[in-house]
Amino acid sequence: MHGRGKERKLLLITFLYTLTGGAALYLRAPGPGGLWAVAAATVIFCGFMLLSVVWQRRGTGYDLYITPLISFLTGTGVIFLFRLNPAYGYRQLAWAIIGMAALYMTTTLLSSYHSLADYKYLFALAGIVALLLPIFFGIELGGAKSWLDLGLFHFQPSEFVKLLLVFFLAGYLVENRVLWRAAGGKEYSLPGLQEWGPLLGMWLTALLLLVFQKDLGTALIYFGTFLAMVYMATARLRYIISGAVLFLAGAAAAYLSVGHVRTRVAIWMNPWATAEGSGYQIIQSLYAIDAGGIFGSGLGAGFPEFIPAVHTDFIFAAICEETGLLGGIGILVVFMLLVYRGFKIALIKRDEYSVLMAAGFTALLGLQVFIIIAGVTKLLPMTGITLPFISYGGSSLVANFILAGMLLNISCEVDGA
Amino acid sequence: MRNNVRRLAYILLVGLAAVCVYLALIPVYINHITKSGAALADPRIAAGENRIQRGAILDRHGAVLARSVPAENGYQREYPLGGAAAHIVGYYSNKYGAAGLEKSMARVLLGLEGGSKIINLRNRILGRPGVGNDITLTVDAGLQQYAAKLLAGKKGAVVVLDPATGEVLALASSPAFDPLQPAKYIDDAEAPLLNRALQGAYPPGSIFKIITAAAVLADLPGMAGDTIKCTGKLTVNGFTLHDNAVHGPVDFGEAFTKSCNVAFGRYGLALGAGEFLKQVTAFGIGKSIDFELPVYAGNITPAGEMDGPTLASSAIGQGEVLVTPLHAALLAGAVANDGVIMQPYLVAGYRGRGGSSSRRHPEEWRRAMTPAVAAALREQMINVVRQGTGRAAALPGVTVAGKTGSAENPHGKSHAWFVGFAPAEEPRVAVAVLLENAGSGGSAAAPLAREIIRKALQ
Repeated sequence: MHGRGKERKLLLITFLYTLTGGAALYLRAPGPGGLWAVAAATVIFCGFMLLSVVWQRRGTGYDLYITPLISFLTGTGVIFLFRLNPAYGYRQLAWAIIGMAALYMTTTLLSSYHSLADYKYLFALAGIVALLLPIFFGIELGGAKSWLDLGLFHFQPSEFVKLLLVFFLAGYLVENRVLWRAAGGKEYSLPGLQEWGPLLGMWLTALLLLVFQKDLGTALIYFGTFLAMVYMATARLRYIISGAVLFLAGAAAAYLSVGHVRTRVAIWMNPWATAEGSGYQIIQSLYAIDAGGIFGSGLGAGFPEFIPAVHTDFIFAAICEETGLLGGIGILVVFMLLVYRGFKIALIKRDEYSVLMAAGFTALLGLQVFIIIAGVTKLLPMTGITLPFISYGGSSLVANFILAGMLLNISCEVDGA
Repeated sequence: MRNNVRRLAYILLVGLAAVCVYLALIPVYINHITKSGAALADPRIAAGENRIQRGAILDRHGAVLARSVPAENGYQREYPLGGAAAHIVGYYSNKYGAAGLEKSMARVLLGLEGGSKIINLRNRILGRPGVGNDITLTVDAGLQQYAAKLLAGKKGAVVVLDPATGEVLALASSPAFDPLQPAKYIDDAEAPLLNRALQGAYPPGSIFKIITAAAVLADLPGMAGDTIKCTGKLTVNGFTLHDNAVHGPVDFGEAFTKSCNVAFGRYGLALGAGEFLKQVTAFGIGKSIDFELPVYAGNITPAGEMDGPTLASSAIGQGEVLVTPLHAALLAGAVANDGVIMQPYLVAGYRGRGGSSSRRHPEEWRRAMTPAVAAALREQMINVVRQGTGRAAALPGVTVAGKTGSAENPHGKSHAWFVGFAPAEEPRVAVAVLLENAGSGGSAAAPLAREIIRKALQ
């Protein structure tokens, strides 16, 4: 009953795809970069195959589709980073290996995740501290002061605080759900601190991110995930609407008082006015997507280097340029499958804690994908966050592997264990 | 809770699907923005072209008119003839775009058209820079340079073509420009970037009498034998047409060789608007020419607005008639080629580096008149050079046929025209010379035409 043959078959297909990419890079520019891209595709494939074999031996019932999907996305990211600049490729490969290890650790150490609900306030505290650290000790990279310099690499606590946020909210909301529902029934009751406290707390946290770390995208994801989880837990539209209004008020205040928020909005409204200045990046992104056409220029044949920060925030534009509209939609479809799978996992669970945690992680992932892709395509203002599993960046990659590990944990755990 | 989760899943999935749709709309948006002209140029286009070694442009004997040589960041374009062939070759600039054949033949020069598909695919997979196709022109670089030299310091144009094939042997416009620095000339009041040979719209003056004469010979053979008394002016409906002299009694032949306006005004009126315009259209005036470079089609007053005075002045190439020097050369070519105008062309063919090649074959453009009418006109044009207004075009040992024109215009002195062909018995070249505001065609344009014919027949 625990056969994982289908998983390995899908991993093999993914491997053929990334191997083709690596081979194309090598043929265009024979050299160590191309060889390493082929090696990276092989290493990622072998890593996931190993996990699959180990899980089969143990007889675990993890979802069969999660690892093929994330290996597809991670492989795409690593191949494109080798194409953009092999120096990024090497590092990303190292992070992918660490990520796979982190995923394995997550499935091993956190398999009985229900006990985590007891530590929810600890998670909240740890999250706040982690967010405060960069404000005092952090450095500014790419416009956001959300990084800690750890010597060998830069560490972005907010990527991991995302996970703590879901851990906390899942525990908190399940515990207080009954209470909230009751409060919702009494039309004229005064809202209590227990009800509005979390909303204000989240709102302040988002504003803190926005004002002190200048990290608009992360603030948006945190607040969006919070509202999504509250909605799933309580379905109280009044609360959601209040939250949205509060968020808009905060955004308006930020627009008026925080310079870089105003700049982002101005770029979004009319990048052509500052085409050679602040609007340059988004225009180049749009040109890249346009240049890709339907089938793309082919791997290595485009000009993604015209887009500043193409390896992190704008990697999706480079993928669209070289693999075309079909490639871009392909990536989106893989993300949609991952989101679908995540919600599927949530819906097969009976206990509310598992449902809410799986759905929370999935909503977080889906929101992040939506916000960054909408940003690089000028559907929304650009907010500067990573494209999960694909963008260059160790913190983001490892955090997302842990997230995937949690989805796997939830997918197999026997209810109530 | 389950229902809420399901609902949120739908919202997120629909949101991501909407991004897919939006992605497909981006090219529409970019197209809209770039069309409005407000956009920053996409550096990808220039960078992509820089990766390709553009093909060379060669004259009919293989002399180089334009080529790409390796330079840092791609290739650098060279134009060995400089300004002399600038209006044919055009320019190619990352900043100012392209003009001339560099623009109209860009796809062939870049190897996007023509060339071998298999080789292109191999280059793409292996990331090798593409190589464009070399194009060979009908132009003779020596004659082209000579024509440019004769025009130096003047404003005007020279067109030389082979009347039997339509091959353009030289096409010069003056003032010229340096194809490496087109930007320098954009605001120049003399408009050096304008290709006067193809885009200059000039009143033709008396060279247009070739068309009127063809109509008379075809439709009014009786009138061609009559004698008309020229009093130096012709009054039509209260409008007076002045002649350059009082020619006295002239027959058709004398009227043509002396370029008598009174006689030709009368011919026009006798033909009537219908017959006259039929002949004008047969010569292709006002008809767009399918050429490798953009050509002004010419202008003639339409039948509905052609009143008496306009008809009389149109018959002598004034009124609202406008032609280009290329078209003027085609008039002479029609007479030289037994009434048939060959399709003019500049690009003889191209050859790809992969061995593929293509060669163009001459085609008929239109039949302007019967061979008999052409033969009769040829005699008249020989007389123009032998004893009429075009004597300055005569060459020893070669019979030159031609027609002069001195076109009145609102900008000062007459534009000087000469169109002709040689040798008259077996024409090898047809020429048109136009000099803006240079005075009479016989004294200003004819001597220049003579030198060009001499050089072309060498």
